[in-house]
Amino acid sequence: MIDLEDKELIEMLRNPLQREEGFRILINLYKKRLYWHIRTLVLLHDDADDVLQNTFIKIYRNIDKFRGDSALFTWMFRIATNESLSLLKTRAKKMNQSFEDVQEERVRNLKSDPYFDGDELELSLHEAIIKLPEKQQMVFRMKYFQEMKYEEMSKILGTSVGALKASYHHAKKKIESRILKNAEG
Amino acid sequence: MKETDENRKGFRVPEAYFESLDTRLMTRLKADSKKGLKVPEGYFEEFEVKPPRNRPEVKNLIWLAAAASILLFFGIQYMDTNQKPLDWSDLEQEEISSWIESDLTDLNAYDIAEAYPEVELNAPNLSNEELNTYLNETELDQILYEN
Repeated sequence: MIDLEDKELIEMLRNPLQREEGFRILINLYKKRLYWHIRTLVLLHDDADDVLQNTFIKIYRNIDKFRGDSALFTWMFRIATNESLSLLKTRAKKMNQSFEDVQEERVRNLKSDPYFDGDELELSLHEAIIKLPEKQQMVFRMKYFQEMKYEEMSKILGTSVGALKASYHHAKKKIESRILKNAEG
Repeated sequence: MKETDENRKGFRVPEAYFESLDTRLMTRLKADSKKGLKVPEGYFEEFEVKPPRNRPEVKNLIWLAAAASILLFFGIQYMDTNQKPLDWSDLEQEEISSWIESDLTDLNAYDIAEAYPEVELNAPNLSNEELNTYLNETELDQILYEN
């Protein structure tokens, strides 16, 4: 499951003498992919930065527990997903709101995020995404924003390629219909 | 706008954000380790709140617990089945002063029970109602100063 590059990296991370160097390599190899995954889930840059840092710290501290049953990126991607969803759920709990309410609020706040330059159409897209069931949201984001291949998504989400294609297709249809409806209304 | 690693579908990142990430993370890791306060590995993952044992009617028992903790704390060294039951008059002024000075006033019955697991606390020969009445009419501070 682990390719050679990952194997060497893990050995470096587990060796106290090479840990720091290994961690720098790991960060520089995966920071952009993890960031963009996190950003499309939490939407706001400041939160994405917090989650990305927490994700790397957890990876660093738990590398000894990584058994190699999946690729290193898959493992890290799951940690990043979990951290992102935890942040949203924690915020929901703190504000005594539902998960959906917090997502809606984030889309509304996107306009004031200094690191979002999207137009009305892009805002409308985000409004439509958060109306989807959680799994469809995830599939759509991974495909649309990260342009991830179905085979890779399948390994990360543990879902068959066929089911992922169907899920993306349904999500796309629902989003198109909602955006059109918004434009007409 | 052309998409780059710093700009995707309306989202962008601050200038040089990715370039400085590894340095910021290393600084954070070092700062964390310098704090010197560590928890055992897996502590937070396995953390659970242990429910208090046998804690019915907490509201009614809170005064009872406070009084019992004071008696138990002072009386623990004298506890002997052959001795007469412990009484407030058994407490020496010096012991009370030492108890207050040692910041032990925040101890509760559960803390003491944890510290002395081998000691069984017998219920005082008073009904809850009698004890509540007494404690409600008496300031705890006064009990401490009067003895």
